[in-house]
Amino acid sequence: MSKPKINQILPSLFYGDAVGNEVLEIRAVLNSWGYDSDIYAAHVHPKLCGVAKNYTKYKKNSSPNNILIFHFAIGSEVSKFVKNLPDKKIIIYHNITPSKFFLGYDDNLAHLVRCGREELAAFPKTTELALGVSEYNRKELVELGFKKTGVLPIILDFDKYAQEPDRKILDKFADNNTNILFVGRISPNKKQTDIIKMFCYYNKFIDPNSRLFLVGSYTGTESYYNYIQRLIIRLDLENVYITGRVDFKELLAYYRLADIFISMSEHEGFCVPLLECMYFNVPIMAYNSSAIPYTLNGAGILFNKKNYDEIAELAHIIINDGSFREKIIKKQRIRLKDFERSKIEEILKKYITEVLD
Amino acid sequence: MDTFDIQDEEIDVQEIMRKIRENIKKRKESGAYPIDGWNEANDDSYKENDLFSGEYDHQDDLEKVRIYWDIKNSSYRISSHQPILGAVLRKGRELVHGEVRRYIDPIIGKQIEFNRSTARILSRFEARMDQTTEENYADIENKKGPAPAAISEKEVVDKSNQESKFEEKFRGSREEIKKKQSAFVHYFDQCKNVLDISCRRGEFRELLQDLGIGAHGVYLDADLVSSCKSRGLSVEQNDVISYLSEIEDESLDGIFIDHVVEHLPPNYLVEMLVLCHKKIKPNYYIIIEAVNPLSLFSLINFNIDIYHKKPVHPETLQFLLESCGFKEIETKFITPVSEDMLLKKIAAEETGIETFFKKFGIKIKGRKKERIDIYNNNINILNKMLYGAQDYVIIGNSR
Repeated sequence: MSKPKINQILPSLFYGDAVGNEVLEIRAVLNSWGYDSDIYAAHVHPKLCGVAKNYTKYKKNSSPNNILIFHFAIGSEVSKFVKNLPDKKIIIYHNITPSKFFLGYDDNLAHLVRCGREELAAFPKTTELALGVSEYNRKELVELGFKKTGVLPIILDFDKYAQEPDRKILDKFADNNTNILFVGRISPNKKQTDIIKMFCYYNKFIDPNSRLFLVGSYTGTESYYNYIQRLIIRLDLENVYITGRVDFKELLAYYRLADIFISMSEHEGFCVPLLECMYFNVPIMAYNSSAIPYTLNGAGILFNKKNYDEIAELAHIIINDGSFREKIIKKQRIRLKDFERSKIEEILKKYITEVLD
Repeated sequence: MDTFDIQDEEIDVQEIMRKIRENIKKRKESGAYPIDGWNEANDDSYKENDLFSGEYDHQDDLEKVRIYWDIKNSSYRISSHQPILGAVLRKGRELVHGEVRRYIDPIIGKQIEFNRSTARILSRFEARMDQTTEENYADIENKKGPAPAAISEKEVVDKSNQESKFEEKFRGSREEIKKKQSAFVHYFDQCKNVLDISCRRGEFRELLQDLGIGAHGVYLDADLVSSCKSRGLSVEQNDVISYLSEIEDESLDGIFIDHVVEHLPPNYLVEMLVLCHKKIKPNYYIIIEAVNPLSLFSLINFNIDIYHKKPVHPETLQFLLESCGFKEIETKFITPVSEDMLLKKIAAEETGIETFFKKFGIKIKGRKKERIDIYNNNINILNKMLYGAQDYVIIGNSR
């Protein structure tokens, strides 16, 4: 009997986002184990055209002997398609942003995410295994009625972070200014507006020689991006840099420039930038919401209230107090070890074996 | 909940917070941080409020009206991922979209205009309200005189005497009140623990005592309590709800509430009635006497007592008692105005024709009598509205 195939399917394979990267990493791991593994999607980024096939083509490859990993992050026509397939299904749940965050900014997206939660609720009976990329996600799966659940953290290839960063960006901002960083798509749930308000206090009352880098794409979230720009004008801020989509080397440069990473996000399924900060020894301050405390697990500094003045003051202490800063970084490095690639691969192998058995 | 959650034994969190607060304080003192309420002023975080529960934040709703007024779906794109059929599907969708838009666009356009105007009006109204509130405060501040001096003991005694005289003049003498209230005493036959809420001069307490019915009164005013005690009545000074909350459930065998409900804010009244039902034994009575707002004469006189807040409609009180669980609710109207105040009716005289037919045992109604009857009926209606009973009593059973 031939080895079963393990394929992956998802609504949209974007270039450079957490889900897209995860799909590519999993495929690489499966291939390294000798499994035939393809990717199917409804929408494929032009840069990944040769990497993935249209999801409708999967029907002829479908078999009860195969495993199909369904990456779930939003509602789509793919859900209904997958539900009717005879394959052994593993859902990897990246979490669906609650629709409330998109109301007033993108009603279509609000509708899609609302549908997504309803679609996910239809899967418990036909799914062998449901995995959350965080314990926070896994708990949601349990609430939805999935019987067999687990946690499969995001697989990151840390070797690629050792590349040379973009020199132009490093040179442009090579000075003694304080650089505050947030990495994440410009999106209402990530609350870049709250970071700007905190930065306003920091820049006006603590350190006028400071910058805020908001690194992330705003394609598809233009209305929220416009709202952010109006806020920057209203607060009369000059040193806020909204970069838009950046390539990998540029991203590395921003991490290297950062003195501190501050997240005000109110909804995350995992938050890959937290691991990236840990790798680059950037101290983390993050609002205590959704999956963030699970990803940090005691590392970094969590805050429960958005008291902008207190957050800004603590950021200033962390930046300037060497020993305090070191303590935070040390704990972050210990936490990062839990996400070593080999460990995550072992977890994935264990789950695959369970389903095949 | 503390602002920061630092899980590291090596880090002195208290010291960190002390430094933070000290820094903020220094900046405020130096004037570098001039804005009070910086966090609140800049907080537009999403708040999930149930429609009618919890604290209502109109600012949140107003902000949503400002964000959501434009209902255009600008993010909609016509697309298809199908490699071969995609172009055909896109064309088809464009055609359908175009046709539907011809109907929908005018409606959306009108709705957007409506939303825009509403959002503008609400924003202006809110600004105007804030301005009016500020003007009112300023006005009150300007008109405020010096703080009143502390009241002396003599003034306290004088106040107590004054209230007694007020009761005497406007409610009637104690004998008159006792006579009126004696009609309800039989509801408390054989009872041992009747509660008289706000016993005033204690007339009902006296009645019950005279009949050997065990009772206890609760009143807020220390002087009137003192006056009741001096007549040997069991009474205490306490807030009604506090008193009811402290006693055992189903410990009372009757409750009498005399002209109290008009003094109470609605929430207090509801809470009091709920507690009454909880504290009274099953199958015993609650009796509430109140000013009758269905009579204009009574309503006009309502404001003679400067401590009256608002009258309570008998149907409202009935509803409240039923909601609390009282049954067999009965309402009676008492304390009629004197006859000479009422509008006069016309006496109907028997006509000649009526007299003639009466001899034959035939009773007829002449047209004149008919008109008089109609007139007198109308006078009755008017008298009821204008000069109806001054009080009502509502009786409920705690079955």
